[in-house]
Amino acid sequence: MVLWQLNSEQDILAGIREGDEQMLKVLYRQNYSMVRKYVISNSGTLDDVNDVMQDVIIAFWKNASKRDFKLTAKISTYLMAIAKRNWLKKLNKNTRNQSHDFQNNDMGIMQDDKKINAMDAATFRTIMNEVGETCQQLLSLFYFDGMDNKSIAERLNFSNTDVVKAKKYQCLKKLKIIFEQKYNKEDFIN
Amino acid sequence: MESSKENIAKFDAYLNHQMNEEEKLFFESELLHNKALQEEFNFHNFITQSIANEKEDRFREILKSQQENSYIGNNTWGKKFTIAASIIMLLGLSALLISYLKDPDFAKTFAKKTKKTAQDTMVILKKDSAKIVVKENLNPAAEVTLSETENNLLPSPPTPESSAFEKRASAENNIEDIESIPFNETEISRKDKENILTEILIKTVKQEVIIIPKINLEQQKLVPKSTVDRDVSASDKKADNNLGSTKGDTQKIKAIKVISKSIIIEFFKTPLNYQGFNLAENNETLKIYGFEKNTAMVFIYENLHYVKIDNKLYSLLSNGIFSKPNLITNIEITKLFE
Repeated sequence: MVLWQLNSEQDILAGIREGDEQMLKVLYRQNYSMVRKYVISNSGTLDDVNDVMQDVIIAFWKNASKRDFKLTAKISTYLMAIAKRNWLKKLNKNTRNQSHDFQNNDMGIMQDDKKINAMDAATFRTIMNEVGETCQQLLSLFYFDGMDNKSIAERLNFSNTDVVKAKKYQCLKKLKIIFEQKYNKEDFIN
Repeated sequence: MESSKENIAKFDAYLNHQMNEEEKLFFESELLHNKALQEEFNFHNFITQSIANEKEDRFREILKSQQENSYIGNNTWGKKFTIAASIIMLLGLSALLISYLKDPDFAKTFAKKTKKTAQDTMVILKKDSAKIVVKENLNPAAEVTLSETENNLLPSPPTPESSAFEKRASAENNIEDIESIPFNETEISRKDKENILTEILIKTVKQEVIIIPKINLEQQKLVPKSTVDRDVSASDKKADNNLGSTKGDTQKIKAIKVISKSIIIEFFKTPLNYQGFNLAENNETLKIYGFEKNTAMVFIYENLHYVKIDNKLYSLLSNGIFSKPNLITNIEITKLFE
């Protein structure tokens, strides 16, 4: 899809649901100036703007990927609301010098920082590349995009959700085996 | 320990908040009491977190590349592009302005390039001038022949014209404002005038063109003539008489002026006070714009057309295009037309 083309809201949503990563750029282009204006006028810098933009668009992507997501306002309004909340939390965090990760709380994912040391993404990518393209897609759709099994079945042309479950199990098993062959999991998990 | 399918389903349900309170409490107590299950859960959590982080990191790279390269005005290249575009636009506008200042007729030539006729442009340029157009049809029966000498304007010879045109012709000598001319059947209606906005035609005359033969300027001088000769031999005779009255001249000076075909001259008053000429390609019509004096003499010398107005000589281009006055200042040449 041509980037400079004006994309309608429905085009963007459809693009995200089809996994078209160009939509990230479209969202960035269309909403940058608005978020920039807000963050800069609220004691932020250009670096802060870029951080907020990334967080906001990734959060929107995850939400829009879900089957039950319904857009009740303009995308720009939705993004702006996320950006405002995101930036205010960052400001509060800086003020109070708190260490909790607001973003992960936003996503509703429980995480115990004491037990898990996340692996460097670039390193983990090398392991992911070894499990095959279908497994990569399936696992990232489930664990990053938060898509349900039915949506994944439709996206990857699986006959039903049972196939998705079985395939997911196989892929995870394969991934864990490759990881354990290369790394010591105790180095990452206490 | 290898995770079972059921355990993985349970872990995912817990991590995605898909368990109810009872299931959640039961699972958490199971984790507390079963170390193997806890290890298995932690490893699963680590792997799934790493999967999510990997894709998020890829997305952030895409967005980062976007913020660095894509925004005009928000990055170095964008600023450079904006500045360059502004400079180009300024240069373009300056070039247009300079062209216009150098050549007041620039708009017309520009319009010609864009395949608009000059007259269309004139209409556009003067659309707001609220001038009324008076276009006079030349009545063949009312053709006027005028001859101009060095300083004197000879009156038009009487012609068998209509009474309306006779009245008009007598008024033409002093006319400055077309509104003072009474309307007659040769003029267009007032309704039509409001629809056509261009320069005002002051006067139309038909007169003869004088051909001047090529003369070697170094050896011969041309004797000034006070009238237009219709007869070559008479012209020679008069020239000789004038020569005789010129003291100190030893060379024989010949001036031969041959009356050629006639030309229609139209005098226009221009709202923007520009001056110029438009000689038709067939050399049969000459339009004169913006000159106060509404009399002119047309000459041909070495196949080129010249016009003399108010004792000043201008060269003409027979291309049917409006051109600025090109004043001839070379004394040797101007003497030929005296």
